[in-house]
Amino acid sequence: MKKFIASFLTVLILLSIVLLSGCGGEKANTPSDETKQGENTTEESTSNKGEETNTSTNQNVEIRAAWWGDTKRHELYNNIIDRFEAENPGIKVVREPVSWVDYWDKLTVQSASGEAPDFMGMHPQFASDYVGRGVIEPLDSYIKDGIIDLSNFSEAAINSGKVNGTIYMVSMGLTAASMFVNTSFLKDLGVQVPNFDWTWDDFKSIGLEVRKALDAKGEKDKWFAGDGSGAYQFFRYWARQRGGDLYTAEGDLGYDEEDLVTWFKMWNELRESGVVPDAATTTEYAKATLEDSLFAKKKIAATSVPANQYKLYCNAVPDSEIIIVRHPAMKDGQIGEYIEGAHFAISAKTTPEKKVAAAKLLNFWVNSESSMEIYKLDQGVPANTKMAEFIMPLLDDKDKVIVEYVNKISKIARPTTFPPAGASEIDALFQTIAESVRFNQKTPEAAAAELIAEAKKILESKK
Amino acid sequence: MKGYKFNRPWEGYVFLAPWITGFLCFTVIPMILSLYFSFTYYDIMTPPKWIGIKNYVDIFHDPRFYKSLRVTVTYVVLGVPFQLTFALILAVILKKDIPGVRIYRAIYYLPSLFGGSVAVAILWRQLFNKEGAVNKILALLGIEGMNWIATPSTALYTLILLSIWQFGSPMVIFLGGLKQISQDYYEAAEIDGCGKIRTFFYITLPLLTPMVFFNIVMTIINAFQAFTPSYIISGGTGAPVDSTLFYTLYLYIKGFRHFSMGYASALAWVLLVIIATITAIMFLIGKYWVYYDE
Repeated sequence: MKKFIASFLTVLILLSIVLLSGCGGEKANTPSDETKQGENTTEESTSNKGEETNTSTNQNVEIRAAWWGDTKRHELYNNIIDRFEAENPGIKVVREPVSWVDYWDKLTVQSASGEAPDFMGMHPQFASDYVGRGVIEPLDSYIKDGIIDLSNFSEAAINSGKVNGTIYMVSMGLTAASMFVNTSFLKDLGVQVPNFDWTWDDFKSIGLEVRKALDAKGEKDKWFAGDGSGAYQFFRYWARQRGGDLYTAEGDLGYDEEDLVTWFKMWNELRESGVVPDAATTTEYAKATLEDSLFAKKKIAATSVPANQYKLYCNAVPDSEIIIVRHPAMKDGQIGEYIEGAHFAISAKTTPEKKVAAAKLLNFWVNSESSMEIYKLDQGVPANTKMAEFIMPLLDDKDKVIVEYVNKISKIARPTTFPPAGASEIDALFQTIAESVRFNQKTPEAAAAELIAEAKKILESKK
Repeated sequence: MKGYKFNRPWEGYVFLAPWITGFLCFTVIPMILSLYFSFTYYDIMTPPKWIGIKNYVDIFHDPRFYKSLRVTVTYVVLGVPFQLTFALILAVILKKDIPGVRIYRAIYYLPSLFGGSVAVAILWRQLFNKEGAVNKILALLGIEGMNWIATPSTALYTLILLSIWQFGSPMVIFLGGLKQISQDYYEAAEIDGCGKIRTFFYITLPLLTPMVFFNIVMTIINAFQAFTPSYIISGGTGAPVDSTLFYTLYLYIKGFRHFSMGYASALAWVLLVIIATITAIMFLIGKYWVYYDE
């Protein structure tokens, strides 16, 4: 009897382990319902779907809005949505704020069950994956109908939201990658502060000086800058400076093994000479929040961050002076800079009136003064040029540094290509492989060869 | 059971209905679906495409599959014996009728109540950081600590330690087993002049084998499915350098991060086969060493 019970229990447990995979499987009925819609995400299929629900037009629509960010941003966005609700009495907005990492996990699962938020933050890095699967609504018809007004957007800003020639996203704000440098840190050590325009050679020589000064003080646990070897978007600058990019316009890899080998070798040298932290420290802080980061703890003086976060970083080290400089340039290389930024998008898998309500919210967000006076530069300089002018008088000195930086970069920036489907998986792959180089488990050459082979496989499988 | 006639079986099924519904909806149907998905290319958002056994073929050519399997097997092989030994020792100690023993039992059971939780995984990360409590204690002893969680060669062992710490459930089962052993055996042994250690190995342990067997099977199955600790401690990536890439974490990354649900389903079925095989082997071997006192 005991044996029987024991084996019965075991069988039960065995059965239930597959629940894990079942969680994903259970939602299987949704995709088949949406087969017709998935292939053709234009208004045709959506309009006949909304027949029965049309009765409730303009009356008490409830939409869900999701975005990523920290507590401070959640506060801002909640205020903006409150104002939107006050102006649009029929629309109620349920808010779903989460952190950056959780946002994408959650969105994948929600999209799988056809429950993607009606109004959502979207990033170019992931956009192809979602557009390809019919999760995001094309916005052309809303723009034609005047629900979304992009008349004050620059051509470049509008183009940044296009996937395969169709507008799917609207820019939340224009920004560019930059490096924040804690000048108080450097001055205390008596090391010169980098210029706005600097090169990789400067990066190394300043780093070595910092190391020497820190060693003289016996500060082993401090370094000049964070280790950027695993940051795919940082590598993008390297690839572009060497004449490539992450991807070609056709969606293939835009760099070669040589680009990768030189990149990994450079960071290995910087690590071995103590300019950047050891591998374990980098791993430990890889997922740290800003407050717990190496930069906030003043263990490093320089870090690579999108410019729009300047104020956040200043607040994280209140007693230090922070300046903003370009990414190091390559001698005789091309310009690495490009204009980037996060976007807003609307779910394709929801009812027409919810889509309209979400489009209204989007329009309110980027085009109205009552939203912009709160939003300001949260995700970068507003893409609506009129709004960018409108907020200027409302900005403090630190905000102005951001605007000034983005303006400077816009003048030199070169266009870039749009990441294809699979880009986020390649990003993760890059991080893992770079980590194994950091821990000396792979040589730069072996890592480069493996990365190219695996990345090509991923791109192939998503085509 | 004999002698009772099931002339109105539907009554039984009515009482069983809630369980059967749950079992069908949350276990059987998802299982069948996942079996189907494992033969498809399924990116979650568009309908699955039938590709035959390609996922399974790919799995056996996937270096990360082997890596995650190696990590998981190490975790099981090192974690389970230590955890059970620990549980058994404590059960023997806590069996004694010392004052306040019930409170001790409760206290020792506590870790397994929240051991698998997110909060403890975060606590673990704090303990084993470069500036964590463990290194502070080592510093007092004059040993320079290292970054246990962020170093590939030690990261997995901190997770194994975390699993050993959750010895509560097997301990409770051992306790129950110990209490069932008749006092007569011990009295007889004492009269024959048998020492404590010999009593343990010749009386307690053999009579406890059914519990040992049950615990081994259950703990192995659980250990193969461990997910939360590595998810939280590595930030969901299996870092550093895939050294904490548990099988289920890899499955999760494939399915929910990289939109390869077909592949992830195939991974789940491979895991099922692995666990089923190990369990079957355990049952076969069990015949030779498990003693049922019936």
